[in-house]
Amino acid sequence: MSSPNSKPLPRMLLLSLLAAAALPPIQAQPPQQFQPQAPPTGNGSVSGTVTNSVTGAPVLHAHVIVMVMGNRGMRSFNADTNAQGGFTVEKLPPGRLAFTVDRAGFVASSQLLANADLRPDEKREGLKLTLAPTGGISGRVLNAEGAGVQGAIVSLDGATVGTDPATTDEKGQFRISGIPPGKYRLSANPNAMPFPPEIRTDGTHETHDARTYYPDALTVSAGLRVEVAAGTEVSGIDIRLVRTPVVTLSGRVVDIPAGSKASVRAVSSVATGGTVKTANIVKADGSFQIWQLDPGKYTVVATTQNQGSVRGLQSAPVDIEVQGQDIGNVELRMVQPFDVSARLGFDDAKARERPTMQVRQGPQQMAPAQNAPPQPQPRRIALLPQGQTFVGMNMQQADVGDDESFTAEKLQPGRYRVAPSWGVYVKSVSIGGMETEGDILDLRNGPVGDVTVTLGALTGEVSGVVTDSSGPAAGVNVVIFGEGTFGRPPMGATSAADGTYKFAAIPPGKYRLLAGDNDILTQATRGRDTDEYADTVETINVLPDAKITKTLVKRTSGAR
Amino acid sequence: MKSLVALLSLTASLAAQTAIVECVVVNQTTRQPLSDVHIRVLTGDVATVSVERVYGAISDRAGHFSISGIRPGLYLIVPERTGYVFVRTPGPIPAPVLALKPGQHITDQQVEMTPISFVSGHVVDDSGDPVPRASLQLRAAPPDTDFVNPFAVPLPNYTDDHGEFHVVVSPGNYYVQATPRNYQPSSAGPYVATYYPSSANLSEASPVQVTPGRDVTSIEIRLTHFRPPTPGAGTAQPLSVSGLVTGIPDGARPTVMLLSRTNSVQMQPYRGAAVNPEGKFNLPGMPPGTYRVYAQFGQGKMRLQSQPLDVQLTAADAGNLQLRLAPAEDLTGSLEVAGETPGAAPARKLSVKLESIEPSGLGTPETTPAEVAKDGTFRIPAVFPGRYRLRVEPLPDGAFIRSVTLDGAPVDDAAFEFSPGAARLKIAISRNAGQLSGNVLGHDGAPLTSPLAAVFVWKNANQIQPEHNPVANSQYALKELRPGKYRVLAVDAFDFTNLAGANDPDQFAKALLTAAEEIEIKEGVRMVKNLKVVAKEDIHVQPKQ
Repeated sequence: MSSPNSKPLPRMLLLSLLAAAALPPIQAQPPQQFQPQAPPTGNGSVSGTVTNSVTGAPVLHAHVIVMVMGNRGMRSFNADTNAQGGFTVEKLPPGRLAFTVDRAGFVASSQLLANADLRPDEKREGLKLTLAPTGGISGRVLNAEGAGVQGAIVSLDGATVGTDPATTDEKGQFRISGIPPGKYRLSANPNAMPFPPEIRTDGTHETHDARTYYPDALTVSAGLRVEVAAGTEVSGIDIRLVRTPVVTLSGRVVDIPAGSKASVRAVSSVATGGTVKTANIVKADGSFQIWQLDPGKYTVVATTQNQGSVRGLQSAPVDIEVQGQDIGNVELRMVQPFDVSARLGFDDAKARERPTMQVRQGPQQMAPAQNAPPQPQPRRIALLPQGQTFVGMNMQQADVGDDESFTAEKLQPGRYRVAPSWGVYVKSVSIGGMETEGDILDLRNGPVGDVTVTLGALTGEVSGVVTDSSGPAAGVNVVIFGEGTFGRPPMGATSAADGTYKFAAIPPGKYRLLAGDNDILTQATRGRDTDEYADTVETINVLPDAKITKTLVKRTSGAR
Repeated sequence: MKSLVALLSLTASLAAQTAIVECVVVNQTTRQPLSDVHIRVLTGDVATVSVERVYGAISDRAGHFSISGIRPGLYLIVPERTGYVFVRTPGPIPAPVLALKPGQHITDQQVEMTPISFVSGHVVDDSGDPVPRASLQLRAAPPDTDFVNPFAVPLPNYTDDHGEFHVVVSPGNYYVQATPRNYQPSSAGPYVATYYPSSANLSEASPVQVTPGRDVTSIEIRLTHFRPPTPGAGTAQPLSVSGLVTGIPDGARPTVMLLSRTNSVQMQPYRGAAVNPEGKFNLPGMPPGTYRVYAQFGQGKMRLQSQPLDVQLTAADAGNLQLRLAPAEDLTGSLEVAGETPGAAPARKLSVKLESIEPSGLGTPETTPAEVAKDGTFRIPAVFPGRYRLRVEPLPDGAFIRSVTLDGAPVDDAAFEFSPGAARLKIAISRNAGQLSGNVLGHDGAPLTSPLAAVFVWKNANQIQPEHNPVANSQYALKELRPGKYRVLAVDAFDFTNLAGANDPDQFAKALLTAAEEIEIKEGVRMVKNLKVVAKEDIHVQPKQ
């Protein structure tokens, strides 16, 4: 019986008379009956030891998995190490070997051998495998008065495989364990209860502690990184939560289709961790409130869900900055999906050329005269949604017609990167006569007219040498990227044996260049909309058809 | 001085029609006052379950706090202080409730807190090695029952690299369960979620008692593999479930899944078994009970499932079960709206879809909505066998699903079984729903103004938990009712804030059902009936046997 007016009994006790209508489900996975493996074939074996890479001590009860890629396919075998760290895996068929070793308290590793092929009946001995022990970070989360904060969640910044967040105890203490060696930022989230600002009449004031990066920073880049060496415990890492004003964001969602329910979310910028806060209240008239916002820049957007055959909508996103005061009257206007037509413009004659493909008449035709004339390739323009405001949007594609125009259909408001399918780049996009350099089409406010996308084909080249303290350095990662959050995406290369690197087909424009370890490259690309890494990167200006040479010094990441 | 301030506030309040609340916060066990407690007195919209207004204060050295200028209404008092947890009041509402009238001055309220305790220990495997990254859950053990604290953010609890855990809890009785995540299997097989001290089965778990201010340490949970529960004295010998899976593609290895209610209220995946190359499967060591069995196989885009079978194990083995793997089938049907000629363009486009009411893994979770064509026909693609709820959207006002037949036999649209084979669904929609509305009266016979009033409705004979309907302006309305018999009861939740025994949701619902009134709704009839809220004395909660 479907009766939409009466709701099934909700769980919230404030509403329901009957406590705990549903018990929490048991977390058990459905137990599978253990499958013994297919009978192994072969008489080969491997044996050896697993030791701690720092102390050299044997690692017992390490789980060693040997995968053999033979001509019958891949099979895996396993064994556990004994008290001396020794293991033997038998009945192996011949084939190529790959090892994976893991044990609680160590970084799981996949190890290859110099001679990875096991011959039939070969009994290889004396293998030496190592495991790097993991480390830990411990400390306390304190509030502005120096008192321990209970129930805060501390996590390593950025996705790190193998570590769980820690919850502070009643003294504010935490420990994160199982950390592979490296440098990490930590964040502490006090997890305030989702309540509106309090009315106080006793002379005290409500306080709000923001999500803070160790030791006391509001932005990711201002946080210090803690270095964890293999098997070491770093203690005394105290995070002092920053006290910020109690800020409420309120406004109204308009043009909600009848019968739909809107939800609102505020997405914080990458600089403050890219978190999403959903509105605590969205009323039937579209008015909404988001409570307890930390300082920083946000993009606020409203969405409605798909309902039967009516598609979900998105509003025009609104950018706000939370400093200390409440922000009100934010209007989020729901926008029906719209079409955008654009004309192509050409910055140079080469861009105007239609792309073609050589088609051979048949196999192994060597004489060009026997090939068919080149076939024209279809030209397509893809619009790739950028930023965090989109919900469930896929990229849109449009065909370019002979009249050098294209129409993209059913778009939602937001920013798009314009990506041609053939070998040209987008030099600029102009809307209603206003031209912007770069390949971003800004449709945050909905449909626009009079759009011209100017294409170019004369790219530049950037090359040079990467050096370190002892001269040209080989195997160093180099990255080139445009400035700003929506600048041209990063491209990477690695310096050759003689230390040289080269980027070909770079669209003209301003770029940042950097060579160094993966750490510093990630930091600099994440911080591309700030000036923080200005003294670490090289800035260059690439002109059409120009070749630029630049020597790069290999950079390493410091404390930040 | 203090009383003068209080008097001034009182007069100010009365003039402005607001209320004053003065409370003392104490430690529940020692009765000592607690200072620096952050108190929130909050109220909200009961219908949408949202907090709308919060008054705050901090208790002083005498544990005392005072809040003035509170607008009349219904409030909850929620205290917070590091190292303490609020004491759950008996009854369905966990915090003290205050109904504040204009000008009221409360002076005798006490709020209790109790020191937080913790449960700590470690999780090990068969060889005694620590198990890192296992997740910990605590479930209430009798006589406590689980409750969801609406004012707490659920916090993660995992074992660290030494396999150790430390979980902060409020006093009570708990079962402690550790669930390994990505932990390698031993030679005896994969590890499963295990209750302290070492069993996958709740019936063999030992509860841990946490008393106020006293921590429980050194709990060792030894992970275990699946093992059927050992039969106790007087219980039957373990039985087996076995049979044959047919329709297996070449080289495929399907699995047989068994669902059971053994460890939870609803059917949950309980056990799985592999199928041998001839298609035979065998699950020995099963305790008596009701199970649901099916076979499944998935590889890439191909997915096959058999018809699920309900198996009742009492005294004999269940053998020779035949499970035939087959791909999902389309379900065709026709829909007719009474009063509309089929073939004429309908007033609006309707679509039909099925939602699985089985545990995950069985059936199709949600089918693609199938649009009803002009001639009333529809085709729902790719439905696996299982039990479903039928949805027709969007239903116009006053319309309801009057009847559904599957291959000619009538079925319940809220729960019907779809089996493979040429099946045809016929849905009849009527626009003549019944309606029941009226006033909700208080004990004195006058319209009730309590914001915690609700009308509970039981629609099926088997239903224990009723549907909850809000009351606005002392009125209620139940719309789109299919003709039939219903049981209805008006309740003021405020009367039950301290009812002992109300902690058990099933027993409480049964007690309410006994006091409910039976009403018959006829087709197209809009019935008006005033309902008087039930008196507390008329509700007798039976303790669970």
